[in-house]
Amino acid sequence: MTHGGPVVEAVDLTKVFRSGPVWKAAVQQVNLHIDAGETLGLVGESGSGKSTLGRLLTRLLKPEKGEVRWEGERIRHLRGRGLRFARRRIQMVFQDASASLNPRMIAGAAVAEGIRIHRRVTAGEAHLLAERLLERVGLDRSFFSRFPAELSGGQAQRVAIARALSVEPKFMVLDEPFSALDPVTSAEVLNLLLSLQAETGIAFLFITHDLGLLGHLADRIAVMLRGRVVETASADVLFRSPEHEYTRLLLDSVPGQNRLETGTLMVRQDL
Amino acid sequence: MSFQQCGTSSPLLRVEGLHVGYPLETGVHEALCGVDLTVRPGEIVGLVGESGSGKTTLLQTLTRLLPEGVVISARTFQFRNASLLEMTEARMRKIRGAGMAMIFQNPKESLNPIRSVGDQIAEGGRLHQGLGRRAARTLVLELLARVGLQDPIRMARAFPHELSGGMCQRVMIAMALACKPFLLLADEPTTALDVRTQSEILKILKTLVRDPGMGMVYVTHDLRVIADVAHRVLVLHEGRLVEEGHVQAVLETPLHPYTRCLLSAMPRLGARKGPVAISRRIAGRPHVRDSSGCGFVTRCDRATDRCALVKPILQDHGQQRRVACHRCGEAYMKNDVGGHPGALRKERTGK
Repeated sequence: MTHGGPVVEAVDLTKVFRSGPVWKAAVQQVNLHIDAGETLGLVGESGSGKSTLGRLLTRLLKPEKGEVRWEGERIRHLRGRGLRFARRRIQMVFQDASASLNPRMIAGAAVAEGIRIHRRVTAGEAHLLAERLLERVGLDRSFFSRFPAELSGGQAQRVAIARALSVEPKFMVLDEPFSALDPVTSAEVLNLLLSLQAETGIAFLFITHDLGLLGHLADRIAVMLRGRVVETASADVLFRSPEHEYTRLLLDSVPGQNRLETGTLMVRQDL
Repeated sequence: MSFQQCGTSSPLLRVEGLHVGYPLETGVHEALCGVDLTVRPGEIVGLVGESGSGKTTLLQTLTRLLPEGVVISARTFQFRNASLLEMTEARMRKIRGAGMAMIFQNPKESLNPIRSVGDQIAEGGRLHQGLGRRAARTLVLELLARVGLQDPIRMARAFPHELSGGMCQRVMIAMALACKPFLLLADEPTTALDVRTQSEILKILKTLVRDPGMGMVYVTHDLRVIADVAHRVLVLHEGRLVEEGHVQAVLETPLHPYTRCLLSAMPRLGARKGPVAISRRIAGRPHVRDSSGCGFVTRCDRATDRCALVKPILQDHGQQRRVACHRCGEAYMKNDVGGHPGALRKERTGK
C-alpha cells in the first residue's frame, strides 16, 4: 500500500507563539513536500523557526493555519489511537541524544519499547529485533544492556537513531543531530544515515544551521528566514548559484573557506 | 615592560614537556603526555583533536584549575617569564583574569543570572585594574561597543536571560577583555552558536589579537574554524602532540595520518550527496592508550610492526613543522600528498 505522492507535505503552514504582549509567527505560510527516499535540508539561523517547523511536521505541535499531510492523509483531526497508529510513520531524532533517552532504561529496552508498542510481536522477538537494530547502527551486543550514562555522545545518538528506526518509519526529522558530536563521530553518523536511507528508502528532514555538511546529505535544501522559507532548490543549484541574498550570506558564513575550499588542499578523498 | 616582551621573539607562554596525570585506583591516567605549547603576542594558536584528546585539560592546566591530586610536571611552564608551577595560589588568582582570561563554550551558564551584564563586566576592571565606579562604567560601555553590541547603555542594564546565545558570548568576551589579559584562552567559544553569529564572533576575536601584546589559544574540534582564525595549529591525539605547524601548511599537506583523517572527515561545502570519506579503521576509540607503541596504531591504516612497538617522537620538518609519526618521512607520503590536487577546490562559482 505504497502511496504515490510525497511522504510529508506542508500546506500553507502557520504557527504563532506568544512572546510577552505580542504574538509572533514562528512559522509563516510554509509550503513544502518531501518524497520517499529523499532528504530535505532545512537551514536558517537560530530563531528562524526551523525547529518549530520540524515539530509541526511530526505533530508535536499543532498549526494555527494550514495543514500537514502524511502520505496524503490529513492529520489535523487525528486523536488517540488513530494518531498513535499514524505516528508510526514519523519519527524524530534530537540534538542532545543523551537527554532524549530515558536515563533509567538500558539501550536495548529503549529500542524494544517502540517495537512492542507498534508491532505485534512477543517480548522475545522484540528483544531480537532490538539487538539487530543496534547492530545495524554499529553497536554490538555489549551495548544492549548499557544505560545512557554509559554511552558516549556518538553512541547515544546511534541508540536514538535505532530507537527511531524501530517502528519502521517512512519519515524522520533530525534536528541538529551532529552539533554535540566531534568531527570523526559525526562523519560516521552521517555515513550511517546515508546507508540507512539507501536501504530503507526513508525520507529525512535534516535541520541544521550549518550549510557545510548539507551537501553530503541533502537532495534539496530549504532556507528559512524569520519563519518563512525564502528559497528552496536542489542542493546542487543552491550551492552553485544561490538566489536569495540570505542564502548567500549563510554560505559566506561557513568559516575557513578561503583556506579550505579555494586553496589546493590535497587530502586524498579515499583516505 | 621591557622591550623583550613587546617583540615577537619573546613568547607570552612557553610550555615544554608537559605531563598531566590523573591518579586512578589502578595507576595514573596520563591525560597529557609531553605536550609543548608556545604562544607569542599577536598570535592565535589553534588546538584540535577529538573529544577526550586532552584539549580542555591543557587549558585547565594553564589556569591551574585542575582538581586536587592531579600530578603536573613540565620541563618549562612559563607565562611571561615567570614559572606558573611554582606560583602561590594568591598570585595565581591575579594571573587568572589580568594575565590570562578564558571564554567558554556555554556563555549562558558561565554568566551570573542575577547580576546585570554591566556589573559583571565591570567586576574584572575594578578587581584587576583597580578602576573606580565611574571609570569602570566607561570601560563597560566601551567594551560592549567593541564586541559589537548595539545600544551599550541599555545592554549594560540587561540580565543574561534577556540575551541570545550570541549576545551572551559577546558579553563573555567583553568580561575577559575587562581585565586586559595578555593571553586569551578560548574553549570552543562558537560551538553553541549558529553559523552567522559564529562568523561575527570569529571576526571580533581576530581583531582582538591585533592589539599588541595579546595572544590566544583557540580550542575546537572544528577544522573549519581553525582554518579561519589560527596562525599555527597543534593537533592532539590521546594526550599527545602528533602534529604542529603553520595552519596553511598543516591543512594543505597534513603529514600525520590522524590529521589527514580529521581533514577527510570534515564535510565539504557544496559536496554532492554521498558519504564523507573516512577510513573504516578510525571508527570508535583507540583501544590501547598507555602501550609502548604509537597511540594511533590501532586506527592507522599504514601502521607497521615498528609503530606498535616504538613510540614515535616529534620530529622537526623545518619551518616550525613537527610531526610524530614513523612513516611520515617515507616516500609513500610524498606520492599521496600530490594525489588529487584541487580535489576540494571551491565548487561554488555563482555569486
